[in-house]
Amino acid sequence: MHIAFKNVSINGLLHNFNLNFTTDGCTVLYDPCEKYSSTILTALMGLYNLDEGNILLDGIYLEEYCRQNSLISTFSLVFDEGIMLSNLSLCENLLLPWNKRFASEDQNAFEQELKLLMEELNLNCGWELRPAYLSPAERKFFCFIRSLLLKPKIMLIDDPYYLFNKEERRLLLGFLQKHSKKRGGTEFSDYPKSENKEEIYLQEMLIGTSDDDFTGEIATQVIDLSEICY
Amino acid sequence: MQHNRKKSLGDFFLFLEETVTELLHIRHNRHVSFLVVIRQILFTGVEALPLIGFIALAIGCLTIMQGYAFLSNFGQGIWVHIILVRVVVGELSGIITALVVIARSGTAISTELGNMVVNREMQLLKSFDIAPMGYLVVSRILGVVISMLVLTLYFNIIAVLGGWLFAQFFSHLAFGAFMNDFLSVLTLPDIFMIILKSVIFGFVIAITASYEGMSVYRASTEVPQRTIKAVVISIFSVLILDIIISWLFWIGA
Repeated sequence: MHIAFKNVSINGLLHNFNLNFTTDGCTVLYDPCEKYSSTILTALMGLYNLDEGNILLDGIYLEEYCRQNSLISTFSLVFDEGIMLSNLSLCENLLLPWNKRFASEDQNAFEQELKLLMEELNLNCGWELRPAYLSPAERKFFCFIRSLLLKPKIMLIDDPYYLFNKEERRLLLGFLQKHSKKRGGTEFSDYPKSENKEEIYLQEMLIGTSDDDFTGEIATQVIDLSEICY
Repeated sequence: MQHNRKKSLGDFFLFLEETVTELLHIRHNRHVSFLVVIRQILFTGVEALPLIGFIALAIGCLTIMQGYAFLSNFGQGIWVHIILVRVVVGELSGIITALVVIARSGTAISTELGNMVVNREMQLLKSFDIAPMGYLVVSRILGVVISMLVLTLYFNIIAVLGGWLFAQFFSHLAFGAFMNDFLSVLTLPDIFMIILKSVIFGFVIAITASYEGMSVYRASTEVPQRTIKAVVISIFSVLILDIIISWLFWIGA
């Protein structure tokens, strides 16, 4: 997918900002000042009102693209703080967007896939728990799972290492490396009901990070935002 | 997202307009959550039943006691049911139920929504392509309005039955005769007024609490401030609306 920011200004966050790139596997937005990458990812989700400029996906305006393709099938954002809805249980948190994305799918498929992903991340807590009962790192792991379950065209990850200790970072990196394989190589193949296979694969990742270590290990392309930082 | 300016009355009316529009298109609104409505009814309605029951019983008994004592001075003790209809059913049931709902649910809604804004849960919902207005506000309004209606009717039933039970202590009054007298005074406009008041009060409480909760900008310290504001505005609004509705019905009668 080709992503273009054209003269984008967002209230005090971005000013006349331009960015033009084609996502390919895992694209990392390296942002040493820890400011712009989060804004770019959030703006891609349409969560900011642009003061000026436009965001284009494959040459189509973002709003128009989301009307044609639905936002939830295009992007899925893992927030840096591992945000979950506090008044819902873990299962309800994961099911809320999943039901919207796969309204006609069998919920057993969801549960099987969830179990597998939880095993991969060594999570063994009950689904009926509220997010407040988990550690911040566990919550963020569940956010990664939630995003993967939605099988978006592009998974957006804001500051992936935030909230994790060294061991958890290693675990997450292995997890992301496994799931960042291009379509055909991923494990997401258990959806016999869907005829459009392309759509159910996680195709690419767009990662916003300020971490030098992260960029080298997983990225197929790195976009350095240092210039606009300093 | 850019709402870091002082809120005005105009903002409230924009919020109101958006909510009413969503409510009018509720059948096609895929953002309204049945689960949220049910949970709101459970919290606002079902869990408030014991408290409302106790207050209704106390109010019914006290009204009968005071009314009987007062009317007996003129040898008119048998007309106490008129006071029960005019004071308890017509006025107090709606206001007291509204005050209980404000204290329990108005504060809870405002606090919950405020914390959700602070924790960026609104952004999370938007990232799922779910409108917070439909999912959080409209669903809660529906839950509160339904609960308010049921609680008001429940209040009236308990107050009337409690009043009759209490009356047995000082004057034997057959239940059939008491109910006959009571129903002869209770008119259709009275019943319509009770229903109208409870629906309007429920809507006002829920929308005020939701608006104040959603108006939190970023800091968690704003949450209690907004909650207090929601309570104060709700109490004022309920009392003013009660006066207006009662006055309109009085003129109509």
